Amino acid sequence: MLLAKQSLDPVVAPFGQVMQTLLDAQAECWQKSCGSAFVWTRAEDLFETFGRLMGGDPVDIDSILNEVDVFCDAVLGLGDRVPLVLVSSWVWPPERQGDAILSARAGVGGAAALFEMNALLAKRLAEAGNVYLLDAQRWIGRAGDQAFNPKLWYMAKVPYGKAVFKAAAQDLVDATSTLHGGARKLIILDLDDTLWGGIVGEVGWENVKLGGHDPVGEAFVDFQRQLKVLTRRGIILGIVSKNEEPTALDAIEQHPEMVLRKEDFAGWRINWTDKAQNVIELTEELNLGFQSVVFIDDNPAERLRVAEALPDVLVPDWPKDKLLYASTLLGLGCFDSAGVSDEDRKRTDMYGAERQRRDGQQSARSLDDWVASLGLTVTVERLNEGNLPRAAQLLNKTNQMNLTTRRMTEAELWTWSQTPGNAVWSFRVDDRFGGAGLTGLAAIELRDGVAHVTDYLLSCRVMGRRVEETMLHTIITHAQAESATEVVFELLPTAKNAPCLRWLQGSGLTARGEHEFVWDVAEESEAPKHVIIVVDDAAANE
Amino acid sequence: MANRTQVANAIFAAVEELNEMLPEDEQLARDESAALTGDNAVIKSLSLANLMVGIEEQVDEVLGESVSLIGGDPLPENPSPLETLGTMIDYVVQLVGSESS
Repeated sequence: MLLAKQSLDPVVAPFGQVMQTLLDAQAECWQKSCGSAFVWTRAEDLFETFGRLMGGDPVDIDSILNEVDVFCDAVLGLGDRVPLVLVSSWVWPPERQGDAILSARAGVGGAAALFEMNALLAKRLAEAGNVYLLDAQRWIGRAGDQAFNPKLWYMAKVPYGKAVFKAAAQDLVDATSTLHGGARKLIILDLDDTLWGGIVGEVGWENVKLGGHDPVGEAFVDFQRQLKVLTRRGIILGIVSKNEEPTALDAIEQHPEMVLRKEDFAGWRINWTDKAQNVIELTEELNLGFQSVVFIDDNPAERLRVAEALPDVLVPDWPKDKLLYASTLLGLGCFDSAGVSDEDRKRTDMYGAERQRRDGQQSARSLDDWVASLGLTVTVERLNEGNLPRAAQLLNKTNQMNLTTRRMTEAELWTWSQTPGNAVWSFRVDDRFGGAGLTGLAAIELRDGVAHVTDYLLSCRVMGRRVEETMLHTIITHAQAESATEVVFELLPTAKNAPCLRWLQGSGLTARGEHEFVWDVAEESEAPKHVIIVVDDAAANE
Repeated sequence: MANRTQVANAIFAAVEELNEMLPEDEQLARDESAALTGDNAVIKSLSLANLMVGIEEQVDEVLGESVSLIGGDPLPENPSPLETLGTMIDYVVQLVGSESS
């Protein structure tokens, strides 16, 4: 099945023509502009050798893996023609129970062969930055005994029950959304009866239900553990709770079975005011958009209030049964990611450092004083194979400070950067509180003596610290070296990139229409004060 | 014992479930005159198979009656239950031995 660009309008490839369709770039199904392709196959149909093994013939595993290799080559070739390719793993046919021992026996068993085939598939597909494997076993597991319906098979050769297709469709939508920057980044949590059982203000932290030899207490601990796992993948946590702040923070710091501590939260609003207002303030403080937020609260009235006031915030129905908290969180399907970078792993620490910076900002006399106090260093590198994965991740996740919101896979970005006249830089930000990592990206295209800025984006975590001006200075300096006459920023407005427009309006660039801003290259550009700019020539030469 | 209205509701529920899986231009109208086969039918044979399985499941789940549209006795002709949703409802009513209301 092919998913046509943006609209999710499916075009179905011809029945039973998997390899032919993958290999034939001129096949009819590829003629429509295709944003992504989903390759869902059954190993027993696709591979003659595996089919024979399933039929009881002795088959050498190497001959099966050779067939898998050929298939992988074809899929990777498809990845050169289609921006995003999703591929299902292979599953044991749900209608064939098989034998528990023999099936899993290496050398003779079909299930054992599938293990090796899937391992090779995963390894080979990871060679491409725009081809992703989806775990089809999840769909079979979710469908349970509805995974196969003999009537559908014998009447229409439909190999799975509709529950499998529903589960697969959900994963496809989630994966496509994730890979196009739609994953959620911030979980805002209530405290009482959400992170622990009971009302801490009434019973004291010593008596809230958390851990111990108690199923509900264990369930709260497990829920916190799952939240902690998400923080290690770059998801950040916040608190919005109606409580006395000292009482609530005391519980977080003092309770011996708390998994999440104060440093695990990027920010909080613990007071008695409206939760919707608190969600707005906390989201703004963290420089995120509401489309990035999930709000979790045991109280349906509070959920309704936030859902109505902030329709872009995801407010999941939350179970009354505390034992279901962890599984409900894991089932939300909105925190997936194509990978985990060092920046992701350190994100919560970075927000902690940000709190310290904000404290400093409140005492500084001016923005420049504050930037000076930070000891800011911006390292500029040309795009190279080392920074490409993080650069592509940033390109596909950044929404607010983003000139064009252009989305590209790693492979597309790299190919684009190698085109004569094009240039891409990454910007790494450090200060005395720690490193924010690779948080900025700029790209230009030289056409007819004009430097057109195609990408200008900056993580919200480092906005407002003169990094924007550093990026502008880098672009202008390059344009001067290339003898361009002017630098043109043309903003493509989206629902989320108003911060970029506001920055352009105050940047010193000359407005030439509502969304176009230019810099006359004859005019000198000054590097921002108090920012140490390090140009990494070694990286530039890679 | 299920009456015709209950059978019709169970079948319409199966139609809605099927429509969730289909693009808009292939969805089946929730109408007794909607054709299931022939020149006027908008659903394809694959969808028809899914609908028949869905009807079996809904009738079992909602009405507690087991009917077999696939793999059991051959379907009758004149009228065929596969002509329209209305003829399908009539046939299922007959299978569950219900009284028309």
